[in-house]
Amino acid sequence: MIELSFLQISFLIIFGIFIGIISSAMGIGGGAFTVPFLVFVFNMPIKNAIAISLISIIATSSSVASINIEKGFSNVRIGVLLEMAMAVGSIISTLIMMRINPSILELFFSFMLLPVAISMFINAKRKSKKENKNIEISGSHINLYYDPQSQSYERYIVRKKTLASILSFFSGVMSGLFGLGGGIISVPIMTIICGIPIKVATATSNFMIGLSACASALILFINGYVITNVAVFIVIGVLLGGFMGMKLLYKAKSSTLQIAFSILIMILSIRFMIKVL
Amino acid sequence: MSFNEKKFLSIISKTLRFGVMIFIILVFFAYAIKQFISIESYLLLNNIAIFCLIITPILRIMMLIYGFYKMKEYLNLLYSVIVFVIIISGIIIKF
Repeated sequence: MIELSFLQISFLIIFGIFIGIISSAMGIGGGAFTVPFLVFVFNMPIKNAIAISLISIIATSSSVASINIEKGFSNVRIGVLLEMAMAVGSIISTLIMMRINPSILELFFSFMLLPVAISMFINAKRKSKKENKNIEISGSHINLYYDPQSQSYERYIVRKKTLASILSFFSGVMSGLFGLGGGIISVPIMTIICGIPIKVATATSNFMIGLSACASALILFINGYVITNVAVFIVIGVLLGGFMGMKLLYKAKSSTLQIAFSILIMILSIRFMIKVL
Repeated sequence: MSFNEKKFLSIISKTLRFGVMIFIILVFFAYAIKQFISIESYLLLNNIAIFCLIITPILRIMMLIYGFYKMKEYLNLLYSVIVFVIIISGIIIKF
């Protein structure tokens, strides 16, 4: 057990609030910040930091998703479909992570993020075209969600489910290898490949990453990687920040979210490259 | 949104909140009685709290299985069962 001073406890809670805000607003788990924070500020071994990061992801996912689901933002059915491959990816990558150095995979991940970030940025800048509501696509299901920004019900059709489901495997891999929620991959998958609106994708990602993190966290918890008295304080902060971040999600424009998310991905990509090179 | 869909989503939402609330209650209880119990008991309570939080998504999947069964969405039910089996398999593998 690590003995924590009052200052350290306060620091953990404040950092947790910050993670909770950006996590709920962006639909990501915040692991990209949590792991470096614990490693560099608390001198924690990276595997322990990853375990704690995954637990904070479960917390933010559970608290934020409970609200998003009730408000109809999360597409639960798509979430479950994508979770299959995600869970497999989480478990396999966690078992690998416990044995090898992930630096090589970090470099690959950093290169993979760049085209995703650029594509999302371009998508956000492009003027959105009105959907022809009379188009019926065989085998498709028309979904509805209420956008508080436009104060109207928006329709969307989920495309390329099989491809998205397969690619979600890599979202799970991010969870198990690096302590990330995987939202950094699953949100672009849902928006770019499936054509799901960014607000729905963000909310659904928040819903999904909890399970992906759970698959990894359970294995790490059983094997003693979780430093409990550090984890509880970060989680308390994350829960507080999660509810604050929800306000940003409701008030922000869809295109603003996409631009912010694409910039965040670019920053993370460069950060990984610097770390590895 | 039909009543069944609304009730289904409400069950899922409440399950997630339940897991979070159990964690909060256990953590604050552990901290409140920290002065009166041994360090080992305090850590045990914190471990139980963390474990309850970790299994919250599993509880959510179980509620999804129940909900999809009640709504006769058998394909989504199958997906949920597969996810549940995958998670349990991961634990068994590592044991």
